[in-house]
Amino acid sequence: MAADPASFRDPAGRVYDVGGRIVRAVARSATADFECAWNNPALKELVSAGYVIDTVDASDAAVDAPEGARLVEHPRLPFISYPYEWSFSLLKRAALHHLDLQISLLEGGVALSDATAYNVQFVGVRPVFIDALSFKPYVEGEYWNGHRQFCEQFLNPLLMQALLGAPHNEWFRGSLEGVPTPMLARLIPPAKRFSFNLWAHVLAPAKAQSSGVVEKAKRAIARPLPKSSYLGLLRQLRAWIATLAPLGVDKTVWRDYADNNSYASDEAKAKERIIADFTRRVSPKQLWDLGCNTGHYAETALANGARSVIGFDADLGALERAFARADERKLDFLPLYQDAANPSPSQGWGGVERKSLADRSNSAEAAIALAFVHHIAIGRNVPLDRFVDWLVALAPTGVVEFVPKNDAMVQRLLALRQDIFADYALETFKALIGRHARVISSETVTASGRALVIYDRR
Amino acid sequence: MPCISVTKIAAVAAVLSAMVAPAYAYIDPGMGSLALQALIGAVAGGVFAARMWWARIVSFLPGARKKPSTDADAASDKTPS
Repeated sequence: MAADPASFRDPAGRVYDVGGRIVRAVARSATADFECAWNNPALKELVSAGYVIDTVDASDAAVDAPEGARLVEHPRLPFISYPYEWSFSLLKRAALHHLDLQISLLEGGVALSDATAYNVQFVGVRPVFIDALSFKPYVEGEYWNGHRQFCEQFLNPLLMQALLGAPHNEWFRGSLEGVPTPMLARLIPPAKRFSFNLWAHVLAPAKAQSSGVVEKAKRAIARPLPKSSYLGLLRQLRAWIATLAPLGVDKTVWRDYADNNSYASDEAKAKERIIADFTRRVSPKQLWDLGCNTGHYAETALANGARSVIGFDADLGALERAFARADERKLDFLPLYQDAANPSPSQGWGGVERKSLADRSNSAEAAIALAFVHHIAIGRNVPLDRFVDWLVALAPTGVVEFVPKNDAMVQRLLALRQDIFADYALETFKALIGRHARVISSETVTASGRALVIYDRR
Repeated sequence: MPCISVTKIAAVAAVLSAMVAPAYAYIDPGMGSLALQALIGAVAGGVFAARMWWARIVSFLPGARKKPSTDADAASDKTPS
């Protein structure tokens, strides 16, 4: 049994997937710190509040762990997402979650050994800290070793969007450790440099780092850092990040689509009825909503028997509204950034450390893809058969909306270009689905001829 | 709990010698970050303490409204810069 490919950085332990059980082997050398931290009342309180993942003994688990390792088990999360798939609001929530944990734990005598964003996961839009081995007893005078990592994986990506209006997603996906501080420092325009916070956490560290101050840093950490200063750093960052807002996402193309689309109200009702009937019949534990926009149909699915929805969209403005919907209405709905024509790859060390979207689709029991096909098949020139192959492989059953060529939205896509899509038609689409799955039904829902096709490959 | 006494011993040792052995992490903490933490932390910690004291003083003034949040929350709602 090999350890999870993402579990190798910290020698204190490894994570294993044992027939669906998530088991963590704590190395013998780390058990003292582990036991000590996990017996701390402050940490116990955070676990019972759901802020930190539950951890129970699993000495019965069959894991080929090193001699003397202590085995513990965590509940399996419904879906693992990565910071490059999070919207600004999700990343900000994860950052505040990390700092809140650190502040309350430090006050209780526990410190965190790292500050990686991958240690925060979401259930709906509720954050949970998943690394049971990040905790260790706080030693008076110690420094915050995770500060640089926190800045690169949380603060800098947030500042890119808040100060420069540039989303972090593509950069973070290309650079899995986050946005390097010296890079961000170079991008900040002169007019935005006059801020103590920016100087303290970006500009000055970038300058110090580039001037190679090893001896200075060694001398600095020989003097103890007062706990009040450690807490001061955490609280200052928390207060600053709480004020950050995404620049420019209020003007994205698809943000207002739900209020401003080409549907007549009875047509929208028909669509809603079909989604409701489908989810009632299938009652999926997890449904994927491809092109979820602001989450209107995700909410319909949740109200009709879907237990959770993972939504994907490439429009960050729409995703911000989807986040607000999930948050305000307490929905088990996680809206994530994803460009379907270039989905998250399998990457990192060995090419397998972070899983591709397709590798994480086992948990999808159903899918819906509404007003989506034309963006991929026409907007991105993906041949219709390849689109169908990809879609049907993601989940065993689903509802997909076919948007015909004479529809106003497709006409908009074709307005300035040659129509090279001779086979783009409903009958061809259904025949292509038929190669992999049964077409259960096909119902026309708009005057323009949009149709909802339900398929099942089981 | 035995770990508390370990922490206490470490704390006493730190105070006595005014030195702690650098606790190296399994990740690279970054030279720039470490070299500046004492300075930035002192400023940030000082600002936080000042805000707490200010909140306490204001709460004693006649006509001060009782806020539902604690002093610490009130102080941390605002950015110190």
